[in-house]
Amino acid sequence: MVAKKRRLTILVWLILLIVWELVTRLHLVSAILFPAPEEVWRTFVGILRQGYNGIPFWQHLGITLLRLFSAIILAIVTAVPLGLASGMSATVNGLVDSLIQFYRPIPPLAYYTLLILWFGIGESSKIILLYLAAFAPIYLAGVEGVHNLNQDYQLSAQSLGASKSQIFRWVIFPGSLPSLFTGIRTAVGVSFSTLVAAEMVASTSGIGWMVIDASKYLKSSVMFLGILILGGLGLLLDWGLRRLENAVVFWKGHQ
Amino acid sequence: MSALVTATQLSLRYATTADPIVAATDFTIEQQEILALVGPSGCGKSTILKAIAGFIPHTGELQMATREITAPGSDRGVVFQNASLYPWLNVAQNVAFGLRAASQPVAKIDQRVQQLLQLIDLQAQAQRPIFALSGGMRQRVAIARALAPQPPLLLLDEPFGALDAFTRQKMQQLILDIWRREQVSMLLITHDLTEALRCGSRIAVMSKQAHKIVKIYDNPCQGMTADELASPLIEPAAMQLRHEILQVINETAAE
Amino acid sequence: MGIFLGGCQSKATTEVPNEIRIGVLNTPNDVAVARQLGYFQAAFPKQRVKFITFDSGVDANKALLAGGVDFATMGDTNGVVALAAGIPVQLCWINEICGANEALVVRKNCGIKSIHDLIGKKIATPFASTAHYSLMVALEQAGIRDQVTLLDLDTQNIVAAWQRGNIDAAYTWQPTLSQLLPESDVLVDSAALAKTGNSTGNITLVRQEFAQQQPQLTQRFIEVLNRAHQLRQTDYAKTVRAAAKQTGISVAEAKLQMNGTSWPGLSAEFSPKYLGTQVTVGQFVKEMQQTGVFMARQQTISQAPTLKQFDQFIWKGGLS
Repeated sequence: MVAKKRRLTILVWLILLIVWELVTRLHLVSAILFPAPEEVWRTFVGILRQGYNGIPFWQHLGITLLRLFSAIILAIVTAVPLGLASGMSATVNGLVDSLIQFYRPIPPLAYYTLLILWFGIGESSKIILLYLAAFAPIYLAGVEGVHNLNQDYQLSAQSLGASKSQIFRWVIFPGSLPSLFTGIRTAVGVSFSTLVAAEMVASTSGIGWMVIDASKYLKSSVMFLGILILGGLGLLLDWGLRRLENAVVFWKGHQ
Repeated sequence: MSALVTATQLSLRYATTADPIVAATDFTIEQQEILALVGPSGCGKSTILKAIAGFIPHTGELQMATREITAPGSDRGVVFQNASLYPWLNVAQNVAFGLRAASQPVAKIDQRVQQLLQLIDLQAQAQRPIFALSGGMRQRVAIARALAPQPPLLLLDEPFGALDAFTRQKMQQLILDIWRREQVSMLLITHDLTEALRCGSRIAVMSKQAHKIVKIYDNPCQGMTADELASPLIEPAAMQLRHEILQVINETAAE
Repeated sequence: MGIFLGGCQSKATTEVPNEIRIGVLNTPNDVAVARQLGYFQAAFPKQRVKFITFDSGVDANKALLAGGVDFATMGDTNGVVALAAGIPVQLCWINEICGANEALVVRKNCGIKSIHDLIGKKIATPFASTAHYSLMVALEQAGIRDQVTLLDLDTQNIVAAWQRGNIDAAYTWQPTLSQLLPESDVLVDSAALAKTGNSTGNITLVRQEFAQQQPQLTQRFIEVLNRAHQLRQTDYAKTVRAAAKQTGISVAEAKLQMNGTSWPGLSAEFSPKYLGTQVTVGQFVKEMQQTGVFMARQQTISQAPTLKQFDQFIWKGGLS
């Protein structure tokens, strides 16, 4: 079953590559709209060797990952406690929940200009944009994790003489981990998809910026390359997170 | 010797409904006995257990060793119908939960856990995750976990309701063994009359219409096996009691 | 998809299209004047003239590539990008030549007196614009191109960053420029750079297919814009008023922006001074080719188009 799925996956990608090659080889579409695979590969090798816009490729990749991970870590550190607190306490929930529910559906680009006005054009406004995108899913996962926790878990703990802080550390926190991990995975996805927008303004580095800059000069092979890199990076991140999740939340899916 | 639990004019209701689930009932749980509480489903058996556990508020008097019950505590171990073990802890860690909450020394915890695992015959499974256990094994771990802090009273809420008939019989035997070995009283909620006859020192019968315990019988059959209960020599006595209990339930139903 | 639809549309209307789609910038230029004064309707009574506003030449190029517009106005640097990228378009008109309306400004009283003082400073400009090119030329002429930090900001963000003190200098255009001007000094403007052979300007590109199939309509299009250029010669005040009204800015503001530019007019444009004649390559075209060489050196375009390619890029229908 797994082997069959893997074969089909490889087959689909192979077919896609062949169609891409054929379409460009036969000049069915203009080369600016659809650069050939080998052209994209050449661009990749060129950027690996000489960098893009005078900045080495690894630096572009590094700054993008740095922005992403700073935002995610910041979001985990703040949204997990707040989400769990909001799930446990009606007071905390009443104070913060409506605020978060309000800003959550707003497209990040809508308030990005404001963030730039408030925090400037440096790294902080970019990281804050990604942070805000990542915060809500983790917070909600925290609230949900507590609410969906089997009621008997806490009752059992009370009957076993556990104190409030023990119940939090030994029951509520580990019990919310499956939900929190789902939230973190969603958060990484959401901030990842906000990356290009974050790097659109006042930036001269990053993979997202590379795509934007290339589009200004209609360098479609660079745009293709950037998109392929972003797609691959996204897959890689999710794969890594899934591995981590399976190790930490080993009981998930076994109940 | 005074009773372990004394209920006087005990009334219980859920916050959302005006009608009482349990209305002005009186009963006791004596030291060193198993009180089996039977009645049709939805009659409020479990609600009485929750009140004794301290999970829900009550009106009237409900005392444990002459002190009014106000909150859950480690003097009352609880076993739920669905074991509600912590899936992020292994078997031994689950059993040790109440001991760690009481900050007992590690060596003492280990010793008690070993003793309990031996009692429930799961020494070989000590390090296994919960999801790898069968339903019967889980219920055994839940019993061991509730027993660990050596509570004088064990509250069992239809603990074997979800198990197959064969496993249920073995569990009933285990309950009797534990009761003989450990200094513990038990309240066993069940809808299975045979289970009540096997395990109960006394059998309390609850009526759905009267919202209270209508009669408590001394049980001459405690400790008999299912085969013995069915044998021609014993059967008339068991039959007689069974008949009487059913009659009480039916009488109250007709009111 | 866009190209496909565009292709269908022009095929279905080979004879005379019933719609002309023009991509415009929201600036007080000849297109704005002609639009306000109804020159387009007068010249194209049988067609519906549809205007689509673009924020920048970058977007205009994408629309041309997708076949979404027939004409589009943009900075000449974007014209170079279009040629280098191989978009099937031709240059048919110079809308204006940039002068004092685009300039490099620095914060007042911060000790920056010349371009050399910019070493180690942060300069913002909208990338891929004429201002960006002019800035690069100015920095290159001073030999400090690698010693400054360039930031890609659009015009609104330049104002924001300026107010927050995030940037030390900016090369931008009106009306953004006047928002910075009270607290800034001009180091160099595009008029000065034009004197060194680095003219910049706004140009109009036409889809090649449209120009080939509809030479009369294309000719009529540039005559419409020429009417605006002529009006500027004879009645400057009226021209400014029309431009202001169309772009929704005050007359004073429009005047400020237009004062810095020059509108060559039809006869000048198709002369050796600008777009050239049948036999000679125009000076503006030569400078555009230099722009291409410069941009290729900056690796913003992969290859600099040759002078011959540039000459073929010019739609010479306007000559007849």
